[in-house]
Amino acid sequence: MNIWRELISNKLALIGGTWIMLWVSIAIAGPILRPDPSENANNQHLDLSLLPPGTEVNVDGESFTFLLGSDRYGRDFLSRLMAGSVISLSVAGIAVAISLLIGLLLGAWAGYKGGVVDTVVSWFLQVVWSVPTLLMVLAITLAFGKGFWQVFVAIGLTMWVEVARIVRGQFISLRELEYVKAAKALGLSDFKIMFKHMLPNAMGPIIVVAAANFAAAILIEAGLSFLGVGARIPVPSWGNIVKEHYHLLTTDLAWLAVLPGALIASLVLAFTWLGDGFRQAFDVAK
Amino acid sequence: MNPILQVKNLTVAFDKVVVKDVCFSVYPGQTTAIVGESGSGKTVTSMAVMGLLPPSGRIISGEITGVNRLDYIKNGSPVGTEISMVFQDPMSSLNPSMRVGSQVGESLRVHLGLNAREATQKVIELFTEVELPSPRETLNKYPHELSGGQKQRVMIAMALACEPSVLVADEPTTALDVTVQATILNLLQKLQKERNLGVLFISHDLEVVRSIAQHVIVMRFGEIVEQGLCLDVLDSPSHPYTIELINSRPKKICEGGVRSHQSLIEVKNLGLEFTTSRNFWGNPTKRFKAVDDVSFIINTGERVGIVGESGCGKSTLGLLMLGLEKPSKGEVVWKNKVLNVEDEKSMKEFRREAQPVFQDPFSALNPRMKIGKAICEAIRQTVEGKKLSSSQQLQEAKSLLLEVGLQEEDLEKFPSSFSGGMRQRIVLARALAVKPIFLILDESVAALDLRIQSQILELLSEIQKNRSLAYLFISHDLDVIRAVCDRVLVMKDGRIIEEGSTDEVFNSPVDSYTKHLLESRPGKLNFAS
Repeated sequence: MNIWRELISNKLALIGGTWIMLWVSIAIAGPILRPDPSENANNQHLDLSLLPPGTEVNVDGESFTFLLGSDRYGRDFLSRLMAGSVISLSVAGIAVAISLLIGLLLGAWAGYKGGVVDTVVSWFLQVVWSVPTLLMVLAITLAFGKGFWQVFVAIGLTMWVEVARIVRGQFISLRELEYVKAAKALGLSDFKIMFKHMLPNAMGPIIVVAAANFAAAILIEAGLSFLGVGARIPVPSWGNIVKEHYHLLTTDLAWLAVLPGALIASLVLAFTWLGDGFRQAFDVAK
Repeated sequence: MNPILQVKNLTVAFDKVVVKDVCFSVYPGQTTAIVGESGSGKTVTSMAVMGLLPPSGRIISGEITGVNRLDYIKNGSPVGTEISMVFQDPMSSLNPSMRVGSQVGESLRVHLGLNAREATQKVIELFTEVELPSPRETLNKYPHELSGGQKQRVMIAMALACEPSVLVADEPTTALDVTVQATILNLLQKLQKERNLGVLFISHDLEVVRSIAQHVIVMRFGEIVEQGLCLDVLDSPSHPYTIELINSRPKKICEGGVRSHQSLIEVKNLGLEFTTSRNFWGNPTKRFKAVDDVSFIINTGERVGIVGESGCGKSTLGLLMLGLEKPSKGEVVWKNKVLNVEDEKSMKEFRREAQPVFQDPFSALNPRMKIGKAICEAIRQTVEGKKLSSSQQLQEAKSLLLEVGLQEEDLEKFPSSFSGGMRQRIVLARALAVKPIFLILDESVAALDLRIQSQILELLSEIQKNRSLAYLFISHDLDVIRAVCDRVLVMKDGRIIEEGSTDEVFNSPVDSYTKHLLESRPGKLNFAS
């Protein structure tokens, strides 16, 4: 399809996409790729903490190189960063999946049906919209206990509103098109009309929102981990790696906080570029 | 007489050449018309004259020269205020967030250096000249408060503001109703005489051109096929394409098939109301009746037309009859049974037997679905169609495509590879796939070029005869209705104001509105002499 060709010819989108693929493969490969293959890269040697990058040490009779140095608990920093990507990406993936599922169904239903259904759904959207994400996460954590499943669900539950709004808007304008009216007059079921005739023609904006939501979810998760609500120690996430080291920001060891922060920023940027690329590709394809 | 604008050997290209070697002149006080179908290069020519070609287009060769004070600088843009333009769509060529008075005043202040008071005074004069009702009040109105015809008058006032000597009018009346079209054409004529304007008039409608132009140019595929004095060309055309164009106006009456006196669909006191404003307590204070107490019967095999101007409720009536819109009163009786939108089973049956064909061929097909798939989907809606294997369905789809004059390899194509006329054939094939006995044709040929229009109308008549269909043809175009309908209903403000056989209504109309409509047809107008 020419959407893909258009996307590949967009340099920023290509860079963003490659960067995302790289981190996805690092997250999936997990222990195989990490210098420290232990679960959560949690091999602690308190006597070896805060060593500079490239230091060679002797651990249990074996030689080991801290390529990016060691963190405050004497763990291999590179391995921690690599393991941290799992949380960031999976939170983003699951949150986006949840938001798409709810957002698509509710938005499509409201946009297609209109009338009372639309009024009720729109009202509900506004209510959810007005609840701050953090408050929602805290409420869900209070109700279901701490842990990252709660974070997944909480982030997903706040982000679907945006998807629903876009889908609703698209469906409202598609509903007026003659091929939708013709499908109704042919007696096709509502389900078929919505998902076979309307949804494929609304895909462009939905993909763009999904990409933006990926970026947002990564940021929210980082924020939550930094506050200590997200992933539980010792599970690494880029947010809580920053939290563990931000007091070193003014010292020579600043990279311990800067690097995970930069990774968060780079992945957010990558998703933004990719989303932008999709938007342009869809514009051109039209 | 010396021409006021001369175009010599003009060639314009985008990716490929779209206007080739075009020569013509515009004379003061006279109208030169460019006629052609969509894609003939007539609009590109006018854009080149205005210096408004988009960045991707360029003038390859030829020259445009203005006599008098009209100068063209090197890159082909006109300098100064000697030439101006009126566009097709008055709805989108006015800024919706600016009062019309200041929109017209703006160009006066920029080009003539008038101050605010002088500009306002001048705008009032202009508005009086273009015959806008109460010019002083109109100054402070926003475009959405004006009707389509009034907006076009504002556009004309704006075009005349700087006293140009040449006016380019690109399909200025195409988006308007016939009665409004007549008044706007009349106004253009008057202004031309008063101001000794040279007019370059772009149109697809030969009848309109005949009524106002002195010179005519017929274009096809970017080239001039014939040009000369208007009456010479239109009365004794020499090029076969011109002859075809002239004959394409639906003058020919198409015969219908067998009719019976058995009622197929009956509309009883049908009405649809919208609440347009509510008071503080949410109680309606103003209602708009889109369809107001309409009743009529269509018999099996009968061809009925509804004619009316935009906003008269004719399309809404069609949607009500199809059960796509819920009436606020009255009922639709299908084969002597009252239609109940809530009853899904009987609706499903009804939907198989009554099918719509809408106006816009470009939005009538799902752009992401192949033609074959779209038609097979419709075939599966019938009881027999469900039992067919997918190859049998394809076979059926093939024969439908052949019936509407397309080829079987078109099954594998997406809608984007078809022209408007071909798409309308596909839409017709899809509607026929469920073997309906009644069609509602809502402006089904309005978006097509005249030549394609008459082809589709002929196809339609043939299918109607072969399948002994009944149909309701909704149109604003009296000639179309006359060509393909046995009986006609005239609609105005949601009501049916006249009803009768086509001959009766066209030859001896009773209602004064019907008379007015008939007199406003472009073929009946005659200003030029």
